[in-house]
Order: sequence, then C-alpha cells, then structure tokens
Amino acid sequence: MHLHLRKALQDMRNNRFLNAVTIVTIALAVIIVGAFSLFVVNAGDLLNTWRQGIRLMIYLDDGIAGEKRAQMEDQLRRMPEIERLQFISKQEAMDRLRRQMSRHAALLEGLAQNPLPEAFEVEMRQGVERKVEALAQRIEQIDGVEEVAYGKQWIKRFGSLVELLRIISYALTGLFSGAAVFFVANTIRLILYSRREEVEIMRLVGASERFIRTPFYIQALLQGAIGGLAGIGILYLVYLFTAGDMAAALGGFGFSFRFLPWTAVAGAVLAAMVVGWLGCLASLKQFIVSS
Amino acid sequence: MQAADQPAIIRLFRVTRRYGAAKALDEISLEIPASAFVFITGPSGAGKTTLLKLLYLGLRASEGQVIVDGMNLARMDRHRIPMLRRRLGIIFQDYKLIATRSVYENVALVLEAAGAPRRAIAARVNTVLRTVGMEERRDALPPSLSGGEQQRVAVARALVGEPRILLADEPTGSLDSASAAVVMNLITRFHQRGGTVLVATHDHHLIRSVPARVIRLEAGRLAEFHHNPLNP
Ligand SMILES: Nc1ncnc2c1ncn2[C@@H]1O[C@H](COP(=O)(O)OP(=O)(O)OP(=O)(O)O)[C@@H](O)[C@H]1O
Ligand SMILES: [Mg+2]
Repeated sequence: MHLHLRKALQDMRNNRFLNAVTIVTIALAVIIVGAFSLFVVNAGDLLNTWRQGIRLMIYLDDGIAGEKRAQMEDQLRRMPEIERLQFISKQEAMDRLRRQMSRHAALLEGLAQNPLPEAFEVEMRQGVERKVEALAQRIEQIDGVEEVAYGKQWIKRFGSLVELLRIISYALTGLFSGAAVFFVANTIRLILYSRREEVEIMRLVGASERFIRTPFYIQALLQGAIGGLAGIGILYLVYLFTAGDMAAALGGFGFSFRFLPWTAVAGAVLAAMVVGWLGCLASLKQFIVSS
Repeated sequence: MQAADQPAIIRLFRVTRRYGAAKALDEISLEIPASAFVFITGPSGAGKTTLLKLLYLGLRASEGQVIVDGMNLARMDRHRIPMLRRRLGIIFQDYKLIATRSVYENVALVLEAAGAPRRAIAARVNTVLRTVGMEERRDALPPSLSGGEQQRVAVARALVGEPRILLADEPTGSLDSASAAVVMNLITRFHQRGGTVLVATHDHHLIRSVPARVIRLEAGRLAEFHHNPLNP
C-alpha cells in the first residue's frame, strides 16, 4: 500500500499538468454544485422562517349560531398542529381595522353595518410549519368555514421556486459528476497511454494486473479528494466573505445564513472521490481491453 | 554437468505456433532437464524468439503442450501468468528497461511485483547491482547508459528474483566482446549455482564458449539437438 501510494504520488508529480487540470475540473464541479446547494439549503431555511411567522385567519360564514361556533372551535382545538386559537368577533375585527387604518378611520364611519366576518385566529405549533398548506386545506373542508387566509400565494410560489432549485441542483450534480468522470477518465487514459510500454514491461516481469492498476486508482481517489476539498474550501471562503452581507440584505427575519451541513461537505468530498474512482475504472477497462 | 539425470523442467510436445497461415514453429518436441545450459540457435527468422515467448506466455502455442516447471501453459489462466513469470528471469532482445525509471527502480520492480518487503528489496537489489558492476549508476536512467550497461541492468533484473530458469534472447547481440564476456560470465555463474539457462543466439563463437546443449531451429523446425562438450 505504501509502495502504491509512493508510485501514485510519483505519477502525479510526473504528470503535474494533467493532474492539475483534473483536480481543477473536479473542484469547479464541486463549487458549482455546492454553491447551488448552499442556495437551496438557505432558501429552504428562509421559507421555514417565514412559515413560522404565519397566522391563519379562518373566516366564518355569515350568521353562524353560537352553538355551531363552539362546536367548530372544539374541532379546531383537537387538531394537533394548532397551538393557540382565538375567536375574533365582528366587533373586534372592526376595532382592529380601525386601529390599522388610524387616520383614515373616518372612512369606516359611514358603513351601515359591519361587513367583516367573524373569524378564528390560529397560531401553529412550532415545527409543523411545513404543513401549513395541508392544514389550511383541511380547515376549509369544515362546514361553516368561508375561507382560510394566510400568505398562501407567495409562500406557495416561493416554495415551488425552492423545489425547482432543488431539482436543478440534482440535475447539475448529475451533469457535473458526469463531466468530472469524463475528465478523470481522460487524464488516466492519457497517462496510461504515455506509459503503455512501462505497463507492458511490468507485466513481463511478473506484475499482476492489480499491482499495475492500484497506483492509478489511488491517483484517481487523490485527485477526487484534493479536488473535492479544494472546491469546498473555496466555497467556504466565498461564503465567509459574503454571508454577512446577504444576511444583512435579508435582515429582520431572524434568519441566519448558514454553510452546508458537515454531512453534505463529507458527502461532496466522498462523491468527488467516487467520481475519480469511476473515471479510473472507465479508462482502465478500455485500456485493458485494448492491450 | 550432471544435467542429464535431472528431470525435465521444460517440456514441449508437438508445439506449433502460427502467425496467420505461416508457421513460426512447426511441431517442436523437446525436453530440457533442470540445471541444463541450452543454446537455441538458427538463422534469423527461424523461430528462436517465438520459442522463448511460448515459455513465458508472451505468446500461446497454437497447438501442442508446453510445460514449464510443472505448469501446463496451454491451460494456464491469464491471472496466473504473473506467477509463471516470477519463476523466470528473462533477458529480452531489446532489453525492455523502463526509460523513465532509474536503474535501481527497474531492478526493484521485479521484487515489488512479487510482494517482497521493502528492506529486503533494497538489500537484494544493491547486491545484484554490485554483482553486475552497476551499483555506481543505480540512479541513472537507462537511456543515459551504454548498450553494454543496459544489458547488465537487464541481467540484474533477470537474476534479482532468484528464478529457477533464465531465458536470454541474444544477450550479447549488440555488445562488443568485452561486454559480451561480462554478460556471459554472469549467466554462467547463474548456471553454476544450479539454474537452468536457455540462450537464443546465432553467434557461433558464443555457443562454442560454453559447454552446453544446442538446439538448432530452421524455419520453425527442430533441425538438430546435440551436446556441445567443448570447453573454451
Ligand atoms: N508478431 C508477428 N507477426 C507475424 N509474424 C511474426 C511475428 N513475430 C514473428 N513472426 C515471424 O515468425 C518467424 C519467427 O520469428 P522469430 O522472431 O521467432 O525469429 P528469430 O529466430 O527470433 O529471429 P532473429 O534471429 O532475427 O531474432 C519469422 O518468420 C517472423 O517473421
Ligand atoms: Mg529473435
């Protein structure tokens, strides 16, 4: 193993340019995919932060009897997602509106009757914010509910945007992994080609295929590891320098920008190594077949 | 020479090797006892190199049986070829040294491939390089060496694994007589320690310089198989 590692390192020194190109390719792939993932992760966080602030307003049909209302209240309280429930009468709703309109409150004086519906105001329990859409839908089924309102339009839109970005990031991962495999395969192929005579001689003096191939696999794994670490490292530096500004731009949401979780970092480096290994496998297969 | 009463270490039975329609070797049968010294001779194109290649599975016989050191080569799986080659020391007609590796690395490669420990490799390689008189040039690259020096490195590589059999294809072909004498001396010493030697050559001086069996090929056929008792 020690011997193979030495040979692999020697090979990398002798083929500095090819190895550098491959490592840069892998690093770029990791940076692009990583930057995208970083964006998706934080957009997801942001979305959840917004969801946390959400209150649902359940507007009731006009003229519901008190008995029916109590029954509804009971039903709502039994829903596990609901933390707090407050009834808002027509009068209270009007008061709130007045307060909100303050200086223009005079406009409301002319109304013959209060047009505002009765409502329940609902606060969701921590941690289930993701289910806000489903919850709203369920409540809307309840007899006597006119409408459930929350910032649903833009949450939905932002949510599907995040979803789209996530899918794009998967596609990018696939695309760039494929490209990186291709690059590694080509590097190893070129190195093998330049060394076909040496490989032939090694066979003649009794070297097994495994002995011949192991240094190439080590080399490819090292290329992957170095490229992966470099890519993540560069991404982290960029993150350090820009995270403050971005958080400031999004400020006031109690939202903090974060780097990729360490599992994703480890996964990225591991994936880069797998890419190297696959590239090596591809070119060695071809080489062995052709020789 | 007690070679005659040794069991055969190499045995060919009706071996034919074709290149397309042409037969490079035609129904060759022969036995070589362990510890024998054998010359394979004959004009250029007679099939000498082809015969040696069959012995290390650089080529496979088209027909017939080849048995080397108890191994039946016709049926040998390709994954076991390295095992065969580790029992052989081979000196190639064109040296086949790795141009980008030092003298030391070229010789050490044999032991590394066989999985020997690093310490043992260093000790053994240095000993062998001293024997062939190349220890001073251990860090040189083969292209910077003279033909005679390259051939001595090739001999060192062939001997370093302490093989049972030494196959040498024109080991003195491109050397002046002084270098040729050095190389033949190394080969003879290997034989004196009990090794089996096969040397392909068309150099009659060389053949007469060592008491040996002589196999003569002509156009792929076994023309003559005689004992050459003359001492130089
Ligand atoms: N790869 C090959 N393809 C086709 N024909 C070949 C090949 N190798 C050798 N031959 C033919 O086989 C015959 C024997 O060749 P071989 O190399 O064994 O001769 P040799 O006795 O070693 O000759 P020399 O003394 O010149 O080295 C020759 O006619 C040669 O042309
Ligand atoms: Mg020849």
